[in-house]
Amino acid sequence: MEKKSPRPRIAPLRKVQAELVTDPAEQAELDQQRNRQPDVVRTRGSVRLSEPESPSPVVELSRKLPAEERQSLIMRMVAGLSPEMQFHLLEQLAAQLPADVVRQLEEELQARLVKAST
Amino acid sequence: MSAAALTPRVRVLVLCDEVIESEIEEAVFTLVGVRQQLVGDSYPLTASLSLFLVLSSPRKGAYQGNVVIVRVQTDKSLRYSKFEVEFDEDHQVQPLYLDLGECEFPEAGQYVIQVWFSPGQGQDVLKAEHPFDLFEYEE
Repeated sequence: MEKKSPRPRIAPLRKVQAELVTDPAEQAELDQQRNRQPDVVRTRGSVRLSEPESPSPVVELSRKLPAEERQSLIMRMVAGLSPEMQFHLLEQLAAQLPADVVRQLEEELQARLVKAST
Repeated sequence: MSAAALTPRVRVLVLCDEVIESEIEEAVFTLVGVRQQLVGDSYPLTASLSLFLVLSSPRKGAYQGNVVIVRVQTDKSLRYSKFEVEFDEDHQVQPLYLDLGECEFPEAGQYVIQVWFSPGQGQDVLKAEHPFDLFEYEE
């Protein structure tokens, strides 16, 4: 029988009045944070606010590799990242996946968690 | 864990005039005046804006967020607004009707609404963006 994912609890709607930031010092601090955000971060509904950067030479070189070698290279590079960076990468990749693939991924992760807990 | 993973996820971001919660069905909402653009007689243009957000968090607690309106042409922020959202339990989904108040736009063009969250320690994290355009009435 197919295992169902836990149903998230949806809270009642909350109406919130946003508070306008008028303090110039606070605005400047928020502007600094905004400008420090890495360009590579993708968000839901993101738009490009600046001109695209020219492709990195490493990316250009990797394009010359056969697909299976590119995949192997990526796997080796990802394996060298910290768990935090791997998690961040997964979050970004998941945001770009079609809904049916996300559901499939969710089922596989659930099955893995169940197996790990038994 | 990364700062992005410690802040709420924005599942839905809609610019609209009103959010009506269903009286007969739980967690069902009617959005009124969903918009991708604004048209004005003259500029600067003042408009009352609201956002419908659906947020989720793996951890309960209160989170500080801020909404920034950015002018794409200059990449400069026009306005910052702060808000707080609270999750009563882990893995909760929280629909939010966020009133941004009266917003002034200097001229027509492309703008972006950004939603940021603070992880508590470290710098804020950009979680969602919504582009929208401002036009002038044409005769």
